[in-house]
Amino acid sequence: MKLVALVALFIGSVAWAQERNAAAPSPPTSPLSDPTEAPAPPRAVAPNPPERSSLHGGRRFGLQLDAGAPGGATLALVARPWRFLRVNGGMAWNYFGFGVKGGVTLAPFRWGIAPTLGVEGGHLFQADASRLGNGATAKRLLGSIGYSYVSGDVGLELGPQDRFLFFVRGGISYLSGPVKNVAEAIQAGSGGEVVVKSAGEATASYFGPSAKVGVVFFLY
Amino acid sequence: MRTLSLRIGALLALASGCYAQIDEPTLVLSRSLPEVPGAPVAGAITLPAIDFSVGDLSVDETDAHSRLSLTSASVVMTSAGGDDFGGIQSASLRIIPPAGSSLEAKTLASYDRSNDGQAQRTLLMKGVAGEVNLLPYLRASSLRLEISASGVAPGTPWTSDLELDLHLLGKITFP
Repeated sequence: MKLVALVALFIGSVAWAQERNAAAPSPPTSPLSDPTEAPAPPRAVAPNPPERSSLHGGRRFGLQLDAGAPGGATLALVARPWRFLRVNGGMAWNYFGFGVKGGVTLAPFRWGIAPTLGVEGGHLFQADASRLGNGATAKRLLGSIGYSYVSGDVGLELGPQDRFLFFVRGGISYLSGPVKNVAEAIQAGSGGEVVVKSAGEATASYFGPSAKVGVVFFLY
Repeated sequence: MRTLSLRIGALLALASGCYAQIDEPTLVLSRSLPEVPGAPVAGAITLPAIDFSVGDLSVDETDAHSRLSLTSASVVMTSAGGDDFGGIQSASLRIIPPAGSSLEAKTLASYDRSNDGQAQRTLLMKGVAGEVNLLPYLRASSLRLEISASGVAPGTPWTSDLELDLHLLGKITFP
């Protein structure tokens, strides 16, 4: 995991450096150039259309890698129809199982360190997380865990944004999911004196902080 | 600056409601009761106190937001024969606080034949209004319960199961 992060940062740094070089202004004309050359007439420059009202002309598609809670580690495709708007969708992994996720990020500023606003939702499929539990009851309860979540966050992005950026985001999340095996779990911890005749499917939910870090590479 | 403060305040207010919970509204536990001798004479009937183990519920019993409440309780006759609870006029289930506790004994559920109809082999006691949180009454995962009744009990010795229909809400709040 550390190696992947280092490689991602390296690739991003190289991309950033290349972009900076490409965008650097050309050197001024040498004073030794032909003095008889007439200066070129000024050319009319068409005003740039407002960025927020037109489709983005640069790289529009890329990949996003991030890690955090409650989404886990995710790999997503990113599309940028407008410069200020990015949408992503992909797959997630929370160490116990896989899921899907999607999100929208608003990035209205093109600064070196720029604030963002985003929403994200996802679903992690049922998986065995019993290794987290202590005791028979907890292990049974965690034997089949899945959840859906939605998050709202604010963040900071670092990087040139055209080809690569690194982000840190924090916000608030709500997640909810069924807890199966309730009857078995309580029965396992009851010592046999009590019979659990029935139990519905319990619901586990969480409302609290969320956080993630990640990188985005714009490739096409 | 004032706007920023308001926004930060709103975020903190939002964050102060953070929680994690597990909600199981229909948990039915059952245990057998000792045999009761027949008493075909009208009068007050009180069964010996019962220690009802609810097992490991995996909730923080001291957290004020966690709750274990009774929806209903049933005494289900398991002995063979023709006897039933048809002679019972009223019945109630009470929770007895642990020794040394400042808690009070409270009625959790009750049955009244005039309202609930004549019972057969199952005596259903409905939970009383104003749910009692049972978690503070737990000692070593057990609830001490007492069943009392009035009317005519079955005339021959009988055995039964006591079923508790419980609602469990385990919740922690933070920060």
